[in-house]
Amino acid sequence: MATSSRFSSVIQLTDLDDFITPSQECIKPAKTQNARQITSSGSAKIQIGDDGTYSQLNKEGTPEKLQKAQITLNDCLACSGCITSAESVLIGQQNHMEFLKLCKDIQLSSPSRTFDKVVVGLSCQPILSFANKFQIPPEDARAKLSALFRQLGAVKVFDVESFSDLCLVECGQDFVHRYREQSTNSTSIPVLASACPGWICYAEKTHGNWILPHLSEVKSPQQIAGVLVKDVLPNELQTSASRLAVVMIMPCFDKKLEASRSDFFHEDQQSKDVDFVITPVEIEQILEELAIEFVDLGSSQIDSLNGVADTAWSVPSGSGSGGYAEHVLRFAAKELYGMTLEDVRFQPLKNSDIREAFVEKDGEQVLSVAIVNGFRNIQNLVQKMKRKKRTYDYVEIMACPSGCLNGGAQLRTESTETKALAANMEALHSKLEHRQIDEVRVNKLNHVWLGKASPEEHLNKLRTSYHAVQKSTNALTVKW
Amino acid sequence: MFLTSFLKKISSSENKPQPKKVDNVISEDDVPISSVNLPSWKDGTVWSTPLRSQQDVNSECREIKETITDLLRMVKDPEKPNTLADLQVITDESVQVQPFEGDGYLVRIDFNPTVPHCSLASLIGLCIRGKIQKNVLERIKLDIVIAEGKHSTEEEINKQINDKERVAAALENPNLKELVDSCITEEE
Amino acid sequence: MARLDEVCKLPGHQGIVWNVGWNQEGTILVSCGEDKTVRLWARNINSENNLWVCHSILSDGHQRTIRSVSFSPCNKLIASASFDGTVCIWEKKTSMKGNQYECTATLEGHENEVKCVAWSASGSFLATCSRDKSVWIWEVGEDGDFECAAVLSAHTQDVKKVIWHPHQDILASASYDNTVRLFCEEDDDWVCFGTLKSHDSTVWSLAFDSSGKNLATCSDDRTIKIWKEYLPGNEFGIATSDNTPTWKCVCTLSGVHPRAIYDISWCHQTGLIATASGDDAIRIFRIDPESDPHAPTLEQLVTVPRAHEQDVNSVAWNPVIPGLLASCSDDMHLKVWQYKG
Repeated sequence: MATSSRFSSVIQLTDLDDFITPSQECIKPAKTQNARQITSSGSAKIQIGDDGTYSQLNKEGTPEKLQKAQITLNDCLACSGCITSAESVLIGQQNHMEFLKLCKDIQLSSPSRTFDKVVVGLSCQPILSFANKFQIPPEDARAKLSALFRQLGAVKVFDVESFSDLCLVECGQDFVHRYREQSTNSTSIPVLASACPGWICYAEKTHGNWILPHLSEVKSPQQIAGVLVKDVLPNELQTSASRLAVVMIMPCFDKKLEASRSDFFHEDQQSKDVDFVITPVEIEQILEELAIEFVDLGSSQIDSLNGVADTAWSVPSGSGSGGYAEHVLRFAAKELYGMTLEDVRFQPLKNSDIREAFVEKDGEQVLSVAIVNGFRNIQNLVQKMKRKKRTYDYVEIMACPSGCLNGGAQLRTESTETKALAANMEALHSKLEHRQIDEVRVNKLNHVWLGKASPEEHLNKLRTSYHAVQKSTNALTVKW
Repeated sequence: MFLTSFLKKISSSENKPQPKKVDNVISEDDVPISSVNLPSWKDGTVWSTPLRSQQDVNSECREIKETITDLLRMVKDPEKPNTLADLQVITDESVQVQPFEGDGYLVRIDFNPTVPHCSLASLIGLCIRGKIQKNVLERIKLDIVIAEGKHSTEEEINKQINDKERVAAALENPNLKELVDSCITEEE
Repeated sequence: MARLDEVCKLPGHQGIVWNVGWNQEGTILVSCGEDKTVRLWARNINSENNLWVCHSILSDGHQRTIRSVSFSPCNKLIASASFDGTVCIWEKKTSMKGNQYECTATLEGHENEVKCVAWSASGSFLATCSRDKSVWIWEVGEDGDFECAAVLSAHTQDVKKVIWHPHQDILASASYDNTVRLFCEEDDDWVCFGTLKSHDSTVWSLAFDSSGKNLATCSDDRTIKIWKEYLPGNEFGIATSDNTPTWKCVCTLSGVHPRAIYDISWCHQTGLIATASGDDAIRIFRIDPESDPHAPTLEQLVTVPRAHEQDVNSVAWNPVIPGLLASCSDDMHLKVWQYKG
């Protein structure tokens, strides 16, 4: 089936794609440079040229062209009005062309360049997408992607999965804390995973305040890696956080929404934790632009950061979306009940996109977790929660059917159906080396990164918060 | 609920003469099955059954045109303090009336949005429809269109403001209803 | 000579009446509208003239206009869809006081106005559609629970109407995007297997014939179209792809309706087709039995020019009594008609 959008279907349902063009329907008040011209006295006269440009007549009566309002991705995210599928507007900031331009600027040492150095984080789903499309081993695809980004000028290329452990450990601890709190806090359980920005956008826009306390406040691996890289690398690379471009290779456009949240922008440093999110479909366009065939790319190593990431490639055990539910179950079983789980099996229910696993103690169920993918299953979960029915203790939620392996911006071939594609991706993922959380590794990372951080700083770096989007009541902007 | 009140008025005036008993039977020979393009507002002509005397019809049409034009002149712009007449959104030429089906009338309103990109055009359309539904008791069929070439997304807006279901739903939205009411209520 | 006789005119609704339908036995007429009520009408057995009277009013389920209402095949449940974005399930409870309907479930999920609700012939699915462009399929659980089985985003605009195939779990939807889409279950998911493009404007409604092999659609473009199913490997040389049937437009009727056509009903007893139109008229057609089944012609049997005082919004043939037709209108009334051929 053709996918018109690289966003998850959830994002599309939350009014993200409207067919009315954004320039006319956008309700975001735009800041303009011309504010100074509006005086308390006379009214401004605006002319519209034959070409559709707007000009304002100044005191002398000569027209000055008015600037077009620029709407950023984050404006759209924070707004309850139109969010439009006009991707040119939406992702202008995050465009791969902009990324290419940056690479060129850096190579030419152009004075107008916005960054000095580029580092790239590869996540496993896009790697598998290339491996599947070109029928090559995942390791080769990973080495080729690394080669591509080095060719473009990246000073470091690393695995995003090297940082997943930080995220997963935090998820486990957060869950155990909330599990223990459940008798005094009615919103502590179920804990809903927050790694999928499509799901977060839906929760914030459609359900808002009642559901937000259930969301895990742990940042996603993408954002944790961003913070860490910007903390650790500038010194080594002799640059500053704001001059270091952090580029993440992700399976879905929704991750762009995440990167541009204002929560991840540091006003003081004028720096974002993650500056670019590039997806497989865009990498294909980059290759096309550069007239390079993917198969012709050489191979290149993956960097470790300060010697803390292994050279051997492994991914967290569990689902292809990052293994959240499995880790939380294992960690909680050990921490709360002293049980070490050997094999964790998730049983599918009505469809393969809703799977559950339990831990029993003395014949009694003590822990229940689920993996819920795709909008219909999210919907059923949310409605059950709304009716105060018992669900699970922890739920790994991803907006795309089949989870992140089937992300909206993964490569698709016309001949393969979505289902078969997802199955192929699952098979590839299952063959990767899976690891359970390595405490030594996490301690090393923590030492390098958070060694001197206070507990408060520690939380700031690993946790985030969510905000309900208020429905607009301005009749001028209500869509009907 | 103004729709309801409007309809109430209609039903309360039910003692008006029933339409002439029309023979339901149409012989097969009379039925145009072939693909004939019907006249519609899209090509500027209308479907009519001239049962009434031409003179009566003409004067009634004129009367309705004047009534509706006067009503619309006083509608306020959703954004500005001016009326639609002030802003030349509605002019003397905006309203056309033709007889339709027995004792009915087909009313077509062409309005000029203030600028070609005016995002409020659909809202103006809603106000026009609201005003007429609230005040006109004659049996009319209403088509509201943007004067040709006056808006960059003319077709889209025409489709929306003539979709009775969308309009009915919009007028149940409290925010929209409040705005439309404030635009179409005439100050005493 | 064929004619359509008015059996009775039913006042009661306060405002636009948007939709009419029948229960499976054809003994109860159901309607809904702007006044946020669902009304049930039955034949008054005490009256000699066979009039229909309102015997139940279902209220307090919705906050805004009720756009669509549908009886479940088991006759125990009624589903109503509203501009308030929800669907209510009403269950018949029999008590000392007689039959009472109680709202036992509210289905939430659509972002805005729900335009239509329809039960599948098997009774195991419920379909809904909305201005939010999506079509939802709900699975009816044994415990009276409704689980979302699919959210289908095939349409690019407001979805106006959903109907089920008379015998199979196949769903058809009509939209403001001028197309009709067909959906079926595949593995554990629902997929769109057909897009019917030919109308020039909003497709307001659609109806299958009794075999489910023909589909009639009506539109804001003032035409009716008949679509015919061609199975893979058919002997007529109609190409199919992916081993799914092709639905081909075999007949277009234009020049008859001067305004938008809001509803179409295909009688499974008699094969008659009725239309509800914005010119206040009801028209009855049939497929000319003499015409080529691959290029049928529609024969207009009856026109009732002023069936209602205002737009006719919905028409529905009684599923049991041949030729009995119900209609409703902006004029706040329902009418019951008898076709005489």
